[in-house]
Amino acid sequence: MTLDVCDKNKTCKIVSINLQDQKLKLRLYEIGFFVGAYAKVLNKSGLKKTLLVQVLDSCFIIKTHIAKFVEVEYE
Amino acid sequence: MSKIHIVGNPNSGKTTLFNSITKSSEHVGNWHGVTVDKVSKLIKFKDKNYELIDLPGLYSFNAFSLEEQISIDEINSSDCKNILYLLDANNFKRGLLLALTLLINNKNIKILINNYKNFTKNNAKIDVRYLKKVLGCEVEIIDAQKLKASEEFFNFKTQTTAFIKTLQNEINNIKNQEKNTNENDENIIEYKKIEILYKYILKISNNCVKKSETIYGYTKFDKRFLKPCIFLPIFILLMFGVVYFTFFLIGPIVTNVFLNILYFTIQKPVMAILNIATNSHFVIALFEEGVFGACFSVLGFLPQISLMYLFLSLLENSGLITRMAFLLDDFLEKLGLNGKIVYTLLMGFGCSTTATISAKNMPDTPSKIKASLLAPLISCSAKLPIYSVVAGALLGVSGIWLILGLYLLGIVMAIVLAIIFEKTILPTGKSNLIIEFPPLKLPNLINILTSIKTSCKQFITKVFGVIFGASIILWLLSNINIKFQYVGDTTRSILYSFSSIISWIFKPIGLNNPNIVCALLVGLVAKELILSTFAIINKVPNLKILSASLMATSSAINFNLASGISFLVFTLLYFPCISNLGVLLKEVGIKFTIIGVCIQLVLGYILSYIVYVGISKGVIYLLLVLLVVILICIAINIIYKKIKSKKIFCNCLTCNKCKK
Repeated sequence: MTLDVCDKNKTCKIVSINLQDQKLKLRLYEIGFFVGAYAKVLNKSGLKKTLLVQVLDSCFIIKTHIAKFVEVEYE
Repeated sequence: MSKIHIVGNPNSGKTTLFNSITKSSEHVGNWHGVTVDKVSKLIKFKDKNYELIDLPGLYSFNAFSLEEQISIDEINSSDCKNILYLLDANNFKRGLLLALTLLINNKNIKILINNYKNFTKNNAKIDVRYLKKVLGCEVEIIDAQKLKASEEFFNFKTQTTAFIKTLQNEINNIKNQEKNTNENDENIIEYKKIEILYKYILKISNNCVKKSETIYGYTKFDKRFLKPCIFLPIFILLMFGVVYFTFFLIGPIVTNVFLNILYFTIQKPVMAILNIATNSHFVIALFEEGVFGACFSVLGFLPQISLMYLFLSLLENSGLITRMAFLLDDFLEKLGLNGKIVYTLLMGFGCSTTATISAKNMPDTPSKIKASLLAPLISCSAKLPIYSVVAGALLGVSGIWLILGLYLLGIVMAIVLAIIFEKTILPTGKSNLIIEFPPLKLPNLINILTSIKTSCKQFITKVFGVIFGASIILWLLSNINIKFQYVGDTTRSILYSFSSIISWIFKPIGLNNPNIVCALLVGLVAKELILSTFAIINKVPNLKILSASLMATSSAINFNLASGISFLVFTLLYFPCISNLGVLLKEVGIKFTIIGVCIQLVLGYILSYIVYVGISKGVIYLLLVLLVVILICIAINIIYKKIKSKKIFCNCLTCNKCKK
């Protein structure tokens, strides 16, 4: 499944990132969204198009249309 | 002289450290992207000189936004030999990525672990000695706000340890492996490099960091209140409260007290001396109207502007802006904007020049251009005195609704312009918002006071610099005729003669009084000068009389309801001030500056016309005008779509699809 459909407050492990935009993919890697890392969706915006995700030590705001390309599995 | 660069992730405390060491007051805030350009200062310890350079925050050597590229270029330059690396203890693992990258590239760095006090609140701990041993560089725990640097602080030497050599070898192996494949994709090298670095970072972290399971950044407040239906209404009410508080509750009382102080301590004694020293009406009038009337009319708003900056500073330092960006990004995306523009537009309430500069933190050039062109539409603090005086004159206490309406109008026009840009010349598509979510914190009192002090200092410098000089010139031009004789009558002055030539342009919007035109022309230099012009032309010695004089038909500048509101709308939109224009030219280039300025002039004129006609000639006439405007917009849209589909003005270099 992908990160955008993860339940809130459930830890999941990143399996792959399938973004075509290499610059965006690189940025995700740098901030901690790499294969093998753990992530948790904490909150979603009103229209569910923006996510607040915990990764490594802290939280990041990322768009749902980017999270759709992050394949995860529940721990 | 040694150059020392301060490097680190965004919001790790670099500028705070810079301010502590250099005793500067560079802008700080609890937001990713406050510093958007490099700042340097010379410092001296005993006989040695150092140049300390503060850089925008970054995560790696791959730039995602324009300000990160500035940092990367600087780090990669031959000048960058010594680096003070700020590592936020609460973001240890992520912060270590860039530190390791710098060490692998053989940079001489000293790691400074900041925000350690907050980190240790839940019994967390970092083994600094282990880090020193593994990384081969100096590691020190600091409090960036309270650091007192010495010469020894800047003397550090990094040694390449076995661990760093292992990392370098592993990364070289990846590069060699990729070279041997057919693709030799640099991106794949980067991904693998990051995976390896994080693998080792996690090992280091397991060995030297003892941490609790609390999530840094996401608080109980966020869990409960970070929802659009709760947070946004509270925020809007807060904004209303600030405007009411600033303009109509505390603001006027404090302004009144401040004006009395200025009058009794400076104006009255000086005028008394002048009346004794000279009989010259010219000199007395110059000081009474040109200096005190003009300058003190603007200076009198210092307390209210300070209150505005206090609020902005609280907002910036608390972490609320990121929460606003999170909640508003869905809506902003539909306008072709990015959540980061929330910071730019909020800065616009203080100063549109600062807001335009802050647009550098946009992820790409079209977003940056859009943010830069929208910033001048927001009601900045320079327009605050004009609103206060004119709205107060027109409607008294009810003027708060007019002022709120003007603030709202600026925001609505920014939204309209954003949509126009998105559909035409600056499409950006979906927002790729990625921002770190900082913790909510009580704003630091020293940062708030420093921010207010800096803003007040800039304002006072402006009053006693540009406004003082311009007021003298204005007074002279409005009291001498074309033969350079003192006439004391504005209707026979040089300024009036010049303004009369072009005043017909403003007749449809009810502003064809040459004195009002003169005020608008002067407002191109600085908006505060509009108020100075009112004071000079209406010959009022102080702010208290100015407001009443604007409604008196015997005054040279006077308004009725229709022309007054038309004037306010036009002032909101018509032209950015000279300093903003200068920054726009530098940031977006001449083409987009001209486009932005023309759009502002046209929008300002059309809206002023609609307002003037609606109030002076009635609703039916207004509806007719609106219908015409809508039809013109539809016609322009159709013509634009036809031009676009025929690709007559294609910008591509080689395109087989173009007919020309």
